[in-house]
Amino acid sequence: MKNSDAISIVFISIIVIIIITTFGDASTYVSFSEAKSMLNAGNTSKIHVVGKLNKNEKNEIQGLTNSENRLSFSFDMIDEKGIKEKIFYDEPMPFDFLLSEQIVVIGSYNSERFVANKILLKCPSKYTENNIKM
Amino acid sequence: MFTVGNIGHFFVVASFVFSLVFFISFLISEKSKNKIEWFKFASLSFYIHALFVVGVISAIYYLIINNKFEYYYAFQHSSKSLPIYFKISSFWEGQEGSFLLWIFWNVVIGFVFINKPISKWTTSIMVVLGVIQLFLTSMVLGVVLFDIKIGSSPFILLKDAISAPIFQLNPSFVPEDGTGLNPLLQNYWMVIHPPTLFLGFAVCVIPFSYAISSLRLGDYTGWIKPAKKSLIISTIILGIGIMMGAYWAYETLNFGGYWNWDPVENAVYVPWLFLVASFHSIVLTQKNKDNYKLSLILSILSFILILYSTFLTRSGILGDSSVHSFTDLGLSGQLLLFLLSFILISIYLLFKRWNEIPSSKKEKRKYSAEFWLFIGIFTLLLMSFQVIFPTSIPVYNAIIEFFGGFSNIAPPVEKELFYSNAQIWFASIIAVISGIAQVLWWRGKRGKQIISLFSRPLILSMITSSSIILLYPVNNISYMVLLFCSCFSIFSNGSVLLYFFKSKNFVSSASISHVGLATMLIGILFSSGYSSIVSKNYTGLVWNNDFPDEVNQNNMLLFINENRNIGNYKVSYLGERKKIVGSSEMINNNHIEYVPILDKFILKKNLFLGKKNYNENDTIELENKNISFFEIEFSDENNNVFTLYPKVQMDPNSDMIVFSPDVENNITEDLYVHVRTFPDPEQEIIWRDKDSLLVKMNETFFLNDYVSVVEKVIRKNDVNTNNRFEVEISIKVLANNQEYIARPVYIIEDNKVGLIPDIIDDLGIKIYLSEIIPETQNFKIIFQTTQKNWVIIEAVQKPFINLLWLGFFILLLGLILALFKTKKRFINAI
Repeated sequence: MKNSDAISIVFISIIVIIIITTFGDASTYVSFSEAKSMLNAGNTSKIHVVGKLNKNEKNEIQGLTNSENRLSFSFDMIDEKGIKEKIFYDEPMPFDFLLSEQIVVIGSYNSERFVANKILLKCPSKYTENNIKM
Repeated sequence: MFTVGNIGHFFVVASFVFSLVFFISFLISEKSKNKIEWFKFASLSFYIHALFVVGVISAIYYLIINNKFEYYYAFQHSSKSLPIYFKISSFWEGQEGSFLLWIFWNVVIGFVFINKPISKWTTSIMVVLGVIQLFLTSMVLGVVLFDIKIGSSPFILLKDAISAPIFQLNPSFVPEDGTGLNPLLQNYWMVIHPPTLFLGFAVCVIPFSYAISSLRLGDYTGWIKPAKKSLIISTIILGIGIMMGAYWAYETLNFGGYWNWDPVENAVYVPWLFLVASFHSIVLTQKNKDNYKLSLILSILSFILILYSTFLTRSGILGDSSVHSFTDLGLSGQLLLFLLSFILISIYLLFKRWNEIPSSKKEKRKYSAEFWLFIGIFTLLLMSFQVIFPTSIPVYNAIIEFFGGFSNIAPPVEKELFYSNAQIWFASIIAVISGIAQVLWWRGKRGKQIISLFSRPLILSMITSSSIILLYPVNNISYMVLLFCSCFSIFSNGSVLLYFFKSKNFVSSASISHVGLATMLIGILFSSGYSSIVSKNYTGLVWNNDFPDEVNQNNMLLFINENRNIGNYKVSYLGERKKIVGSSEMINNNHIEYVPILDKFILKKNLFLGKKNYNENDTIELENKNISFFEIEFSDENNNVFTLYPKVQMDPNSDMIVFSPDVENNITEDLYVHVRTFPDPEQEIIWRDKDSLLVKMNETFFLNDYVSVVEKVIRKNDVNTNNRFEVEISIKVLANNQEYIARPVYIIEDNKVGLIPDIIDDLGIKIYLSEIIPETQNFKIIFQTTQKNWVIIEAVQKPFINLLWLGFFILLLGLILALFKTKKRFINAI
């Protein structure tokens, strides 16, 4: 066998390994109800849930509780299927959190509570309609 | 109507049109009989294009610097209070500005090429540059054609961008102030990092254009030398840009690291690895007159990957997986078109020329430097693939959904571990190969026994790495491997340097770069792998039951002026500080008083600060009233004292707090300190019961154990307002080796008494002047105390992080030497 063939074989097999491990370690985007049923099926892996803050008609955020000294907080999130869930997060509120138009929480159910390990935000270009401060 | 906005927009359209003109005329110049005339015309149109680009940028700066908040771009990215250097950087906070930055650097590059002697290469490169400018300027065009919006103009008026109700009431409404620059970006690195990065992007155009021109012209040898030089330059500049970003993250963000494997970071890391791979490939091509195909493909791919990363970060496709990508401006279609056009053009040219490109079927000897260089290149490619493949997960979802399918794959949850655990092995392989290939490259042909060349580096690296492993101790297999491989790289590349140093007046720039890389790897290994929290809570107290466990266990509560031990340091929190304009020193928060009516701060006492005398009641201008510094003094066992100022910035626009660390740089380690929490200024303070005292002017008394004296009485109201009597007394309080001043006020108006207390935060004391008794010349003072001021900090040790920066500088030195060498070839090289 020529060297170049051997190199190609090794090269391709490493690529295959990378692809397999990527999908092996990849998480999934699910809704809260799917996450619950995953938990009931004994799957405790961490998942991504995409959703929004719970806002009323006046655009006020509902269900947000900041701990004393702002080191942790919890909030209500509505997922893409419209299901509301309380999220607990053991970190200070991320920058721009209240302005976010979309939130991704990465975490899992921990005895009925959804505990987030990470929160990703999608922010509008800072200020949207009706938001000019006088 | 000649408004700046209209003129600016005209400039944008004109620069777009002229990029088309210069592209087409350079194209004609290639084929035409009147080459020179066409070239001259094309050059002229390029200069006009350049002029308009500069015009666009000047117009935006005009809007930003003059606070023209009726324009959306200025409103959105700037504000009145920003100092000039942050106004400069607010230009590239938005997508439009950063596109323009890229366009500007491309213009500079065009400038360099157009002034070279006219050749088929110059013309062809200008053609390629023309296409790129055409696409890039279209991104800021802001024109609607057949209901399709092309580009996003930076000259949109606020009222057209935002449909706020205020504009229905008053169409000519102009907001008082802009929404300002994101506080995270208010950092000097953000003034210089983006221009460097985009210059790096722009320089990558050169090797790409050379490769494309090589295919277009069917000349496969003429491009190698200049492309090699430009590859080195782009590796240097993009590398500097990346490291600046890393240092900014280390210094500003409080996650405690310089690299987070965020998609945005990955999107520049991968093209950089490709640049390195193509540089090595082109070195092989230059030496052996072989391997043209790989060099062409890699030079093209490096730029395509930059376009791909532009697409990833700007199309909004990463929205769910990245913390700091841009938001979608509706440009995703255009970006995709840009990317796909370049991919298709490249593929077409490669296919067309594939059989013409010279190649040899010669098998590489297993013990030749070429063979190992080749393996190294492939390792770099695999290393890149391991990063870019998972980073692209959102793209797969989008593609599957585009074809009507459903996919919900998300990126790996523990992305730091996912990437680091794989990259560490690739890095180890790269380190070893860099050593082997260098030694063989320079010394492999000298007839010596090959094994003997490696015996000394091998033995030395085994001794060094195993002693470090045992002494430190390193207890993780992959860390041990990386350490050994890096040591091997240092010793084997070092042996080459030593060999040349002894025998010839010659330096191997590659060996220097490789030593630098290996040093960086060791720095990364220790600073990331062995970063340790020194602020462990050993007191047995729980700071607060509401805190997460992690905070109670890993962070230290410091009361003001009380010593605590953190690691080997004696630590004392000295209070909150503010930065004054025009002074290098900071001022104690307690010595200034906010006057709301004037929106100004005045001094409560005479002060000598930063070689300048300030008097009581002088107005003090703060750099930013929303930024507080927490002065924390550390002294080690040898009584070396240093002070750190971790920073907290409250952003009134978003009601958010940004905690930034301060770092003490030592040779062997960094001490990285940031505030976790501090008394919330908005929270109500619980005061204890009141105490009262009767004191006379200039008579010493004890105020909660602090020696105090009433120094001054000031009648504050003017005589004309008869029914109002207002008196302020100035009380000097001696504590913590300094003088504090409290200035409570006593008011009688229409027979009603009002008391305005003053608070000395540092001492946790609130003082009222409750009565003035003229008969006995006594003042009745009431005071209340509360918990002393405090702060909770986290302190982290980052061992050997300096090796990372040092290694990077060595790497740069090697690359710069290589640049010098391609210009002036050494006779005895090779």
